[in-house]
Amino acid sequence: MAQHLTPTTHHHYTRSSSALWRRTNDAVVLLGAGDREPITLTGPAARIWDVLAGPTGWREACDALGFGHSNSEAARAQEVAQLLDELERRGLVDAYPAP
Amino acid sequence: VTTPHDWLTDPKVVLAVAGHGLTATATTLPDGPPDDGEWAELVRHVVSERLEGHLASAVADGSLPASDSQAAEAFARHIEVMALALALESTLLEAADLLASAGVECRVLKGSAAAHLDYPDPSLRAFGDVDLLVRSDAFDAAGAALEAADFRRRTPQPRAGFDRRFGKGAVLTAPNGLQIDLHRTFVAGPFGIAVDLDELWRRSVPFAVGGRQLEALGAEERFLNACYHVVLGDVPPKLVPQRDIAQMLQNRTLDFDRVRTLSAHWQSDVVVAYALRMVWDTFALGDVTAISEWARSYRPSSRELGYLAAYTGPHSTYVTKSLAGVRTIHGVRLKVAYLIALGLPSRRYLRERGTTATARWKQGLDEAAVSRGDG
Repeated sequence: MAQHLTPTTHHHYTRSSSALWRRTNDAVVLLGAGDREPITLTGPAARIWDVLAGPTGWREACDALGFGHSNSEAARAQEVAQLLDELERRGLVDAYPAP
Repeated sequence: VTTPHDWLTDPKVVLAVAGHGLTATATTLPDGPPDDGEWAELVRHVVSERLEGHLASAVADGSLPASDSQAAEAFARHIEVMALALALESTLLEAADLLASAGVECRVLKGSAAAHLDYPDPSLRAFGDVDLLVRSDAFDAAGAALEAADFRRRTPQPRAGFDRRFGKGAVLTAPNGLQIDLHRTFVAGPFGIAVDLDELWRRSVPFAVGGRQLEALGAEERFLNACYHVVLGDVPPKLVPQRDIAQMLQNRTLDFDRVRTLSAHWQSDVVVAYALRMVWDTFALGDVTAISEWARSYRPSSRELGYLAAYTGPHSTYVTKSLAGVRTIHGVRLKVAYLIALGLPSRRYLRERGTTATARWKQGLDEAAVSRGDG
């Protein structure tokens, strides 16, 4: 059973089955159950959505940002945590304790 | 081969965009990028035809050369229509829930069902409304369930009971402003009345939206629905339903014997034949198959041509379709009820349509005279 969790290295995430979404060329358009306005993920955030097709740890999500990104590793980690938290808040991903 | 200077004058560019991804098409995309004016013209057509998914796909895989700014616009417009598609699917789920709570079974038609079932990627297929089919005897309950949740019906039915007995359906506006077409059959008029609705409901195919299982029509029934849409819908016919047909043909999952059995039973052979001819011509399909040969050689009867004229003729209106529908109604009592509903509609119906009974009679007589060739 999914629970609301603060993103940490101890959690796994996966796309919620109730998420409405479409992949476009360089973006993902998403609408959570009960939301009125779709959101659009672009660039690295869109790549994270791709890896969330299956249970994904925070580290794997960070890796989806790719090498050569200009931000520092700490900044990237913070961005990923914020993105996962936002997606979970909108009901677009489910969070589980890591096995 | 289409050259860049053909951009403005050659609608084949738009057809080639619509046909992008079809293996059998002979349509070709230009081999150089358009200038700004040509691009703007193409985008205007693409938006009008809801082809943003195909345009983005053609640009993304390099089939359609485009400048950076043109590519960015293609992808941005694709995102816009996909955002609308998701909002419509959210509305679809809400409506399906309301109907289920009222004990009304439904089938999803066209847009969302086609996107998920017939295309390799649902993001290729844009759509602008929600189409749901409900059974005749549940039509009133379905409308009531939606109206109780603030879905507003755009126009009332002519008389109580008309919708569930004779109507095509009703158009409702959801609380979020999006449109739901609640269908009882595919189209108004004779071709809609002749559809065997029990047979239409016999088969269904499940598909998932937002983790929920919904039901669409069977593959052959979806194909027939697209044929009705192409031949009896917009004039000139839209490209998206034509692409739906071409896509289903390419998928090679249709049982054409069953298509022909259904179309014969529903008196719509001419609709299928004309739709296939149109699709073969629009996308310059190279395959010659048994079904394309059948379509090319089909000779419609004078009655079929008369019915078609009610939809596609220069004087086609709701009235011409309705009058043509009388012949397909079985039984004198039902014919009388149908004519009374059309000729003597309720005051509310007249008021909301901004007309009077006298004006309606005059319009009907005028249009009947024109369709007979008297006018």
